[in-house]
Amino acid sequence: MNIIKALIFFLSLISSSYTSAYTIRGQVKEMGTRKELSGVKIFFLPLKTIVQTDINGKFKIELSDQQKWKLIINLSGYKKYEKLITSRNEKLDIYLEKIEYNLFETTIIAKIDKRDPAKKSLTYAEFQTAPGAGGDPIKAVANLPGINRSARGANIIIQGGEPEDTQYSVNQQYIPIVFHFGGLTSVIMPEAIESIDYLSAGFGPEYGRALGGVINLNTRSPRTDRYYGIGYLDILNGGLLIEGPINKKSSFLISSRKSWVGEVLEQVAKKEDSFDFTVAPSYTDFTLIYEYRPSKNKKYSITGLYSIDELEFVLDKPISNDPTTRGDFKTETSFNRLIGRLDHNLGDDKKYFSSLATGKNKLYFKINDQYLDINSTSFNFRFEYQIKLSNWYNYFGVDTTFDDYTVGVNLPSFDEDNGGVSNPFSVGGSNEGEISGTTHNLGLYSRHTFQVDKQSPWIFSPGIRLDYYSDIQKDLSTFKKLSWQPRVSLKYMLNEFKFFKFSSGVYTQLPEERQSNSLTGNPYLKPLRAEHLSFGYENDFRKGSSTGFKLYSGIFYKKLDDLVNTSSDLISRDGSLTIEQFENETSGEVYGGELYLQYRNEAWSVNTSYTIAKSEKVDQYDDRQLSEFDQTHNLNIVTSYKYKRWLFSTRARFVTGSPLTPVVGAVYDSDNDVYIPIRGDYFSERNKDFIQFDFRVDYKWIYQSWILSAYLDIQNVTNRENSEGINYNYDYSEQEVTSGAPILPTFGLKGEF
Amino acid sequence: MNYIYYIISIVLIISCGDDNFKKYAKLDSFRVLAIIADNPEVGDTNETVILTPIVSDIENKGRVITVTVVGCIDPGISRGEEISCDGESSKQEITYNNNNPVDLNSLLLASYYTGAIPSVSITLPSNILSTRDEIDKINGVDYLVLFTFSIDGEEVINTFKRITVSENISKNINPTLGDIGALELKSNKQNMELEVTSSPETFIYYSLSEGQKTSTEKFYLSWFTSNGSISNSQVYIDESSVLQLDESLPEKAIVTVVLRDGRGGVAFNSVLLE
Repeated sequence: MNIIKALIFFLSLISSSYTSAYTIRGQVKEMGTRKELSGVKIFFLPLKTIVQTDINGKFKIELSDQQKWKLIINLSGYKKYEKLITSRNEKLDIYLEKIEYNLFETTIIAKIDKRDPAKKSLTYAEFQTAPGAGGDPIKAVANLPGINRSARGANIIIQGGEPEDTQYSVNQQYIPIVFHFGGLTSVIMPEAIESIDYLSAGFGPEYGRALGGVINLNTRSPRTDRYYGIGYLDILNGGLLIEGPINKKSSFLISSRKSWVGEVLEQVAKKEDSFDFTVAPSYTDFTLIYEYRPSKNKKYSITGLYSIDELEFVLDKPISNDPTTRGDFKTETSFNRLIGRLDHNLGDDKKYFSSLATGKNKLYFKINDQYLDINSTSFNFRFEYQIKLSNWYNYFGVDTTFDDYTVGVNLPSFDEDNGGVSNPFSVGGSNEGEISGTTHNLGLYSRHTFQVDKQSPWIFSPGIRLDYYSDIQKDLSTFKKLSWQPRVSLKYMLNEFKFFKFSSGVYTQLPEERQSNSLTGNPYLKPLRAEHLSFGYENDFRKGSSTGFKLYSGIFYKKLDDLVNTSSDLISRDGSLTIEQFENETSGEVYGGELYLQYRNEAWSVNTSYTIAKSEKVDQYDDRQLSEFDQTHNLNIVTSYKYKRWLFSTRARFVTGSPLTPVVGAVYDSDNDVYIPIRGDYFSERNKDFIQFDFRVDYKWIYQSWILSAYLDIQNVTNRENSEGINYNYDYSEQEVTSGAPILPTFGLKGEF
Repeated sequence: MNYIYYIISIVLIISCGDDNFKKYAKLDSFRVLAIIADNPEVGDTNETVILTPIVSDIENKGRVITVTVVGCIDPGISRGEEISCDGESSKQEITYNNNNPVDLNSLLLASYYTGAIPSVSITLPSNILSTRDEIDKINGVDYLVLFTFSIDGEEVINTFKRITVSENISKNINPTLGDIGALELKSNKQNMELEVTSSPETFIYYSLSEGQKTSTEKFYLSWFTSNGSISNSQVYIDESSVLQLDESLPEKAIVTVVLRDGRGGVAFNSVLLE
């Protein structure tokens, strides 16, 4: 045996000494991302010998040593790569540099469900590169037409509605908030999101319990090809994401973020001796995604979410018009969710998904010894079965929620219908107590989309949604509590890129829990109701190319009924007179038009969105007034320009000033030692128009196996003092304008590996 | 959820940037400082209550004021209802000072145009609570007494006082004040001290979910001065306030304090610095 081994070794020595070929092997990867590039043609000059990389980007070739070889790769989208072969048996690690790198390099192919014409979706690539959003999906949506400029932590306001009229969900499962601190940044790290859906007037039956619209975040599938990570930090927060394969069928993604905006504010607040942070404002979020694909047609996923916002401060001196409002202020908003989901494709014509979510919600708010403490545990179940029968696509779904809640309250009864001018806190009578219970809301829906054939320009989609709310309309029978909501959409395709759309429907929404509970509210309240009409036209002039214009325009109308207002009426309930607290006596109308024009070429991207709208309320006395969130004109122009590894972006905004209620006098409350404002006509005046310019520049350094990005983001470049409200002295005889955020530069670094 | 952010933002907005405003503690033009009811809480049996306004009009050295008074059951001020008795079935107009104006110059000359003016007597209607639920019977229903103070035919100040009508056996009574600690007419900073001669009462109230509970009053002070400034002019009784008169001292100044028990009970005192 030893003789044979020795012989083989001897022969191999001879063959290597006298062979006439090089053996070149190697792997081709994308510089920065380490993505293995398959199917890449590698040329060896001068004889133009070609080898192609395999699925892992690897190649191997034998070359004659009669030549001096030069390796050339000329792949579209990448810089040309050349290398002289200087030694035999060389092993090459080739990194191809892309001509152009996106803002962030995670490649996500989002499949957009286009069944609902009222839905606008942004994929990861779109929201990450959307100017003025800093890579945040929800901020990117906020640049679309129909979204009001938000103030006072109002999250997202759709088409002149109320903040409460917008519903938020992740993978179609409800979550209580979508922004940290009402508008700072989204509650999920953007890199964990595949796409975001924005549904406005006329949305379909899949969603309910929302009068205005829906913001739904779709988390993405973790990478299965390799491990990947992102880390970033700036002066406000930092985050980390890691993902990769577990085995051939499963993969994971973990991301987390933590803010230190509080510590920055703490330093600022130190200059103000009457104001001390004890727990600086901070937020943390965590996302976990696990995906298991046992077969091509079946996918199991588990998504875990956690988000917490905390703020605590001490106000040593009383505020100017409310002497007892001082001391400890604390707020905590948190939720967690565990969402299990099964997607099963049963063939070309049938599929279903089933999703179960559970988690806890907490809202804690405290002013000195007064507090509101809401804790609930949610169980939500969603199921949808999709089947094609002849020319009909049919969707049948279940959308139910169960909540086990406890509410502890010791707060004044606030005057909510106050035209945005609050009474001092000490004027409110005390509400103290605790209540617990369970609520369940059942939703059933069906949608049926009909098209005569693929060539037919008409797509007709009637649907209906049925909601049952257990905790309102006390004493009403189950059947009478059912809320039937027909919805319909119609699309007329002029061609593949150009169409008209129409949608309409009836929508209901639960009153807020505090309005309908039997402790501080009115359990006899009805659901709030809306009727939507929407008509739009879309034309993608690019016709499949990446350069050119894209246009969307539309008009909408919303009729609102049974809106909730406060009531001081004495009513007979359970045999004695009591204060009604809330009633469904307010109605409203919102109407307007939207325009969205997008232009893109290789270097430039310009998105212009414009909304004109009017939002009005009719109160219980039949007085018509502007809604607090009426914004006549809302113009957003976001522009970006790419130059080599630089990305410059700007955002210019013009928004009509928010409606304002003038204070025409005050009455002295001698018991509480405060002045109560006398309001003029509600929302009869306006703040000054809002104008702001933002600027951002990003630069990338591309290394072989990682990418470093740096950015400078400057909000309110001109340091304009935009009016956000009026601040009054103790007796309302003097006033001054409260300005919004001043110029706010942020610098950050981001690494991808 | 948005509701809470809204409240916080209001607090933050209000708490910032009031340095340019006139100060709460400074007495200058006509002002009502308190209204003292001899019985801040009464039963539901046609009780009569005497109300005494405490006013100040230093800048104009006490003008002639006219006062109109009306009363009614609280239409729901705490829930934002308009502060008015118009349209209320329980409204009653009350004669003040036999419909005669009050000359503050002569009445309050000795106390630097700051002090009590003639009282008004009000008889409350009965059966306010008869149809109310248990919560209202214990926590009480407020009867409002609205005062309008006019000078030269022009309304200057509107104010009101609540009288609580309840079935509580132990009714709230006014706290009492002793003397204000020694203060002098000087420019140095002076700690303001006060002798409180009564203790906070323990009272019963009705929790919305837990039935009857007890709590204890928390006394609250409001300090005023006709000259200079007061740091921490609105404080709980265990907190300190500091008076700083102007460098250029006036001939005299008045320092006034109002003690409130948070349930309608009020006491008043003042000291003249000469």
